[in-house]
Amino acid sequence: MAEHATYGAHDDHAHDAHDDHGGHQQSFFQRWFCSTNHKDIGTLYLVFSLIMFFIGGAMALVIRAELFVPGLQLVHPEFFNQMTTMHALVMIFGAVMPAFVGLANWMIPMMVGAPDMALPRMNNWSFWILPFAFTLLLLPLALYTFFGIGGGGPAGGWTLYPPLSLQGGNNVAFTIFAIHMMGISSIMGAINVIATIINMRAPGMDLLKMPVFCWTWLITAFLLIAVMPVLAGAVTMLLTDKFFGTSFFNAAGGGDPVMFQHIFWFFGHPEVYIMILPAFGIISEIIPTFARKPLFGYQAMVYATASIAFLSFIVWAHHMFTVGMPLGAALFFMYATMLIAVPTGVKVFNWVSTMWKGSLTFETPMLFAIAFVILFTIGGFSGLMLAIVPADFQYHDTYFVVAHFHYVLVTGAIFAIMAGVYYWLPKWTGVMYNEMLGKWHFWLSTIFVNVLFFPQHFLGLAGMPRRIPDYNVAFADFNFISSVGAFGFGFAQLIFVWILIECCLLRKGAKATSGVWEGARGLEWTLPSPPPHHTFATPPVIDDRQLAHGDVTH
Amino acid sequence: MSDRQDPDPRRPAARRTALIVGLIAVGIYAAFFFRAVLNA
Repeated sequence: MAEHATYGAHDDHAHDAHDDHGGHQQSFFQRWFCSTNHKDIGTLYLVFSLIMFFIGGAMALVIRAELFVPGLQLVHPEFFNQMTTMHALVMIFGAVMPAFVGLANWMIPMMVGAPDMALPRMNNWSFWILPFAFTLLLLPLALYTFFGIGGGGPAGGWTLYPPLSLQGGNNVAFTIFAIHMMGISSIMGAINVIATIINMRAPGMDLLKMPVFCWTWLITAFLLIAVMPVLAGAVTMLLTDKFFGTSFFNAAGGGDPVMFQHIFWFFGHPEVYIMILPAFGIISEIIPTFARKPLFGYQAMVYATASIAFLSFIVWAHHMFTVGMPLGAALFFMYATMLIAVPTGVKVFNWVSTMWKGSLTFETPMLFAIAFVILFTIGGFSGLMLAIVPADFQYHDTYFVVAHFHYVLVTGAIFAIMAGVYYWLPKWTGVMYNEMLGKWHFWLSTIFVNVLFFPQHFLGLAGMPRRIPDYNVAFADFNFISSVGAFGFGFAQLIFVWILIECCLLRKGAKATSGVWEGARGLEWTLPSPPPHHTFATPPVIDDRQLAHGDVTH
Repeated sequence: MSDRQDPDPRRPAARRTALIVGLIAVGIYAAFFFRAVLNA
């Protein structure tokens, strides 16, 4: 088995149990509800994210079940609209973002040699806001679905465009308060990441020696600081328009509904990069490990990440070409959008160059990482097609857009999260996951995700609009294929859950060494697997040879 | 580990960084919202 070849290049330290709290005993309540430990809070974020992934996934399956065949058969159109809206909100704010924050919590302090996150109590607060936020968000939908109370959840799309979004009932208030709370949580998480990386690095861990995952998260944190308040401002104005008689976006009162779209997408486009930059970081950790070569162009990767972050602020109106804007503005946003392909291309070529002539092995994290590079690039290319103004007039609001952003977010962000979990799971738990099941999970996911989303390109090009519960019979075949893929992909994730249960709860599997993977380099791999509850209480003495990027000349 | 017992000399600087970044976030929200209110 390939995995045996990759065990233990490093000395296996004594297996300090992760539950060893240095003599300080904590009850279940103290440990999980009052925790200020970055590892425990990271675990909480990841478990929360997994639960949301399945709630959002169940909503996606309702959508694909309704679209299995033409006609209205399973759900009322109004409920269908609630499903599309809530699926997006839950997946973006509940699954993808908390998963990356969880990975950041677990890994960043160990990667930079810090004893914990810079502000551990605020870290606890950041997490514990989320369950309350999502209770608020899901409550109107749950009350309606299970008890027939109220009018259901928001149904105007996750973009909350007025005036449509304001035509909902009291769910508007629930959604807006939930978004405010998620925003506060994200901002506090971002502050913690920035303060940890800027101030808590061990002596000798220079910025340009940090793992790329830390760099991508540092830049992501600045994006969060810059745009989450903008979203908060936009939804506050929605709230006052709905309940306090203002007219920010109400044309009848002198307001401008298009202004909402500009403000929303000024948040929304950087948000896309908030969900993909940490993924780039994870892939940049995994590929060098399994290629057994240093990352090609480390500094270029860092600067490319910063360039992408900068460009993300000046492309927002490409979501609004069909709304109408001056020709000069359309041209600016088109070319600025295309420009993003340059630093993204730098990254893709650097990953490929890292693999070139490497001693590659294909354990599950590497398989997900390679699939990421290929499939995310497909999503990138369809993004370039959408950037072209005249073409976008054809593609806008069709299933081509749905296919595009699912390639970016599912085979991009979520595949990277999967890759990261498989990569770091032995470090977290001290046991190797079941490699055969991991490979089954990978291949089933990869096959079915393409069966699910690739036909949606054809549906979009043929003119099928998004967010509709019924469609012309001309679109029947590809919708049928897409729905088969959706159920296949959904059920393949149960394998992932079983793998997690085996590793985290049953502790079944070979013992992991401190290095876990033969090619792994960095401070985090010098710690035992699982690491003790408190690590680097005194800053480690850094030996550049242990670091993945200790040689600043590469 | 509670940061009250933590003698780590890096923490005060980290708190200052956090405060500055937090104020930037609040400032963006406030500037943005008040400008919209004044324009309305």
